[in-house]
Amino acid sequence: MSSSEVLDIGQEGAVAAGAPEGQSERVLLSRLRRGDPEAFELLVREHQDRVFDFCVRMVGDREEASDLVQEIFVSVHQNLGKFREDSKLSTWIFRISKNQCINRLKYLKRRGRGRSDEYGEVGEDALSGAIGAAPTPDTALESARERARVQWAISQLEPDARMLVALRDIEGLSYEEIIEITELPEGTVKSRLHRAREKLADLLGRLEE
Amino acid sequence: MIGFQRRLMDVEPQLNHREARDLFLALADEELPEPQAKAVRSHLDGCEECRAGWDRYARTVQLVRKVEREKAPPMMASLVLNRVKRERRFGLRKLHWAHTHHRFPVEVLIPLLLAAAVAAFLVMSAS
Repeated sequence: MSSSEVLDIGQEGAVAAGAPEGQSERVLLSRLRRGDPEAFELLVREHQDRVFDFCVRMVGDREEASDLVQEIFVSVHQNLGKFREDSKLSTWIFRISKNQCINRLKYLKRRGRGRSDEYGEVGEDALSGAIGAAPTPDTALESARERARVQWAISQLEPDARMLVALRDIEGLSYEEIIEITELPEGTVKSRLHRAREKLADLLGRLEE
Repeated sequence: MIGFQRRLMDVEPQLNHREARDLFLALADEELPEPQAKAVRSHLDGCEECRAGWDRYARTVQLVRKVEREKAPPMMASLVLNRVKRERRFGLRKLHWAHTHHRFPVEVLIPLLLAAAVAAFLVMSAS
């Protein structure tokens, strides 16, 4: 990922200008730019779960995602000085995350570690990861199964489609934010997301049969 | 003329299957203006196939939206801070960048290094 990929984000005016959230973000940013290590730790703690969840959806592996999150925040730390504040900090972090995930997927593909088409292989692995070793009540087991099924179905999508499902339906971002992160036109975002949802419905429907 | 146009707008437009399905995205996002939403619903009332398609589509969107989020491992912040410190201390920023973006698989790198060593040895022994 070139530094321009990371940094040249949206030209639209400051999204949260004037809002309390925008104000606290500006305070945090100025502390970060002064090199305040506590501010950086606060930033990591604030965003780590969302970034981790996004990475798991993208690469389908918790260990790989954990390593990716570290790389993403290192990249955030290195490029903070170049963040132009014309978008929300979280949007910028998601854009870095997207680029890192795409690069990692390419790398994993080169190493022959692509996706598996069979639910049995991936789904049950994800299931055992989700429920852990502890004895699990029925509802927790069913919830873990559902998580595993959804994750398997997402892993069957193309990376672009996976990303849109993660950003819109899991992270709940607005289309404006998704357009800034993906650099795709609105029509493309919507038509790809629509197709991705249809494919997910088809895959999950087949699992239920 | 104006009255005629108003009467036309009052009548729900009839959507075909394709048009109705194309509006599923906006309907699921609750971003469809009411007249269009009404038109889709009225198509669904009369079309069993599209109704089944919509039920599946809406159920999937709901399922994905309410799926439990993955949480970062508890030590994540410390791991990140250590990594940032390490990068700064050893000045490995560029090397790290190159490793992240151009890293060679080990099975390519090792034969390349071996070949370079053999070539260097041959050149030196020939001279």
